[in-house]
Amino acid sequence: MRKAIITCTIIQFIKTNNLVRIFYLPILPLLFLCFPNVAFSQLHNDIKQVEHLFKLEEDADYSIHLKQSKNELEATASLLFLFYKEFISSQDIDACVFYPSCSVYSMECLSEEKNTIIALLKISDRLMRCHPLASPASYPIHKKTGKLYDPVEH
Amino acid sequence: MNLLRKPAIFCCLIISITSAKQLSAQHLDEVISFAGRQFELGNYQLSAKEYNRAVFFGAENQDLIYLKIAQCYFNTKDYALSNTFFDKSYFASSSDSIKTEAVLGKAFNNILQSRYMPALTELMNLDTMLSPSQEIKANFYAGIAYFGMNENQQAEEAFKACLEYMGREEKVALMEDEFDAIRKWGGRYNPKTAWVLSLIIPGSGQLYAGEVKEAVNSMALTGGLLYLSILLSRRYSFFEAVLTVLPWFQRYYLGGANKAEKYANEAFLRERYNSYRNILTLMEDE
Repeated sequence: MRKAIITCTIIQFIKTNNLVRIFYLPILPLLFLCFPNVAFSQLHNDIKQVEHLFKLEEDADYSIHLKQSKNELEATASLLFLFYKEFISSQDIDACVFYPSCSVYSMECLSEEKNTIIALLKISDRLMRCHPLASPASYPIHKKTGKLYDPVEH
Repeated sequence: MNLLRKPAIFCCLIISITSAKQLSAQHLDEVISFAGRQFELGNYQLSAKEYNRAVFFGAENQDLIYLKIAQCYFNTKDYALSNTFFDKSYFASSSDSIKTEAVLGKAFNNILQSRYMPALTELMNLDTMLSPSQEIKANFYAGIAYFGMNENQQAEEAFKACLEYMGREEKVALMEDEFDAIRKWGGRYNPKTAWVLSLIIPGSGQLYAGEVKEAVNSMALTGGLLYLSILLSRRYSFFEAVLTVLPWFQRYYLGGANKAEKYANEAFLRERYNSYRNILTLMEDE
């Protein structure tokens, strides 16, 4: 940055000073040659910063629920969930009004809630609340998806 | 004694005023140098705070200090505040070079926020006479902004101009090849075509987007539901078959078409990202 400002200041001096204006064209390439690393190193930094632009966001890894399952019930539920996500939900219309979707909510509820009965009650409650008439005033809006935000609460 | 009192008071006043001024000037220099050290160390919040303090107490070269503050906020990824200080630097400065740095900084901020049109608007404000390093940056930013807006012709011209300013004429032909490739696959993935194809034959839109597994899945689901409806209409009645299967069928039929559109769009974005990576590789200096 300091080098760039020095270069800019010298160029500005050349541009504004009438005496050296006639030497402007020969001086400019020389000046550029004096600091060849300035432009390239700055561009290199800029390139590093813009590398992530246009990158597609990766899909969520749902297999984590299967890996983290603590018992046979959780493992079976995770497998069923994975099958549903991979083969059924992937072809379905985007009907769920909530974020995270009801299936993801169910998996999170089963893995995070210690009491399975309470987890099942919570899932049933969520499935009953998920309909097109769900009140937007009762939930915050998830910025990215524009859906009603309803995560698992403890 | 009375004769000496008045000159003594006068001298004391003069000394105190001059020393106070010196102290004040030293203090501001110290603040700026401290802020500079913090910037070098990567403590951008503290650096911005100290630079702001220097501006508040009337430090000289406010345009340069505003530029530094903008860079502090840029490094903390507070792009909105960074833009505000780039603006302040632009309006506080009478030097074209600092104005150019401020405009370039603001354009880059907008690019990092994927706001390509505002970035281009900023770049339009640039002086026509720029230093080579500023030309390189301006063309590079313009190239990315045009690329982000899918204006491939302008993006190609900007990137080629950037390479020419860098003295990498040998890479211009490679850049042309890359953009020729972009034009070839550009029309290959049309999301609307994928959507229509999936409506005609479920799964064909997914095939068009290169998603074979999803295509088979869609065909199996919609085909299965169609088979079920035929089975039910033969066993019971057409009305009952429609009543029981149609809601499910429309979900997966329309869902499949929507997903085909999404996959085509994703395929396009994936190809675009690969091309973008190739362009960045070309722009990188060996």
